[in-house]
Amino acid sequence: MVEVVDMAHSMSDDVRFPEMRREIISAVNALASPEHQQRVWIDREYPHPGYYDDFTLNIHILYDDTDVLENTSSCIGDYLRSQDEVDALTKLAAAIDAMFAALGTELEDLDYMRSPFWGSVVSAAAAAVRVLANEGDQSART
Amino acid sequence: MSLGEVIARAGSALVGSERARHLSAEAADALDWACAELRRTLHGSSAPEFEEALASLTRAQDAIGEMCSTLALAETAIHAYLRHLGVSDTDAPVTTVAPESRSARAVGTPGAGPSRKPGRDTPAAADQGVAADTERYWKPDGLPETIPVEWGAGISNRKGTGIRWHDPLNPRGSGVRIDKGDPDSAWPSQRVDHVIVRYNGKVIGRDGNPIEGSIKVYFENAHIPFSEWSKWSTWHTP
Repeated sequence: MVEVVDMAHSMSDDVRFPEMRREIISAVNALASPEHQQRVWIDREYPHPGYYDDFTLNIHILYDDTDVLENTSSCIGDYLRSQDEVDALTKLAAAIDAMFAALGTELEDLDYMRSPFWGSVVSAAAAAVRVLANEGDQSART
Repeated sequence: MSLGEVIARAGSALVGSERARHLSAEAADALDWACAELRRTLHGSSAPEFEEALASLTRAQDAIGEMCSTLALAETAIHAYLRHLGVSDTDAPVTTVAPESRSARAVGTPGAGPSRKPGRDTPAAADQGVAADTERYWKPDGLPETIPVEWGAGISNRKGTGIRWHDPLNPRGSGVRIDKGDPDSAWPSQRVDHVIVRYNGKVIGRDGNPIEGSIKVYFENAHIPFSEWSKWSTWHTP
């Protein structure tokens, strides 16, 4: 049970926007962890005052703020380091997009988590976490 | 046609153009993927028919790029025209898409995964996004003129009610997202319309300085009440 509280020692400064890369890693980690989702998103047990996280916030980070799940392949150098990272996040985007195409974007977090699509989202995120971690970012965890 | 109708149509054209450019970026992304797959298939070998396919894909990418440039020029012209009329383009009412256009669109099927290529919307899902986006379009009242005209009308957030802009000169580093407030939220910053500001790759807090960590950790500081942000001297400085 590790929260995203210390990103000071990340090794992601070889991309143009390292802070946004850390936000991306934090969001992918959250999507990869059913334990975090239940505890933080549903039970609202936060690691410290002022902390907040839910499914929508992670979608904002990955689509609206960074667009890393909308224009993944063009993010190398800005947020991402390698084609492996692009491939992993492309699969995560496919899982989320398929879920939104079927269910829309207005459901509660728990409804997405109980849907038959959620397993694909979590497994794609977990695979992406492994790739992102292999690229040297060890500090950002959900 | 009345002046009001002209302004409404201009506003609608801006929104449509912005969305067209957004979808074009997705199409370009799909072409990127197709090119990469072809190259992987080739494995460095030389096959004329594949080379021809690659050349065709590249031409398609160029055409999309030209189309986006043309749309951007058209948007600039519309913005200039609205200014000439003495109207802030952000105040221009938006004419919705004609019902017959929406009804012709395919709708994503539950359980149907992406088939065109991994990682992107299926064409059906992408089209559904256009229709849904048109219906979901929202912007707060009193949008300040500090948002550069060149940024266009903004596009709807992927989830939730809200609108976003990316600086066309630095789309990955700078931009603004505005979320509609939820009066029932437990968080004060979420009860009102609020703004996330990114400037050169850093999220800017309410005091105008970059936050020193994640949005999740500095949640309240990173979400600036719209009423406060709309008085800032520029879109990224108080």
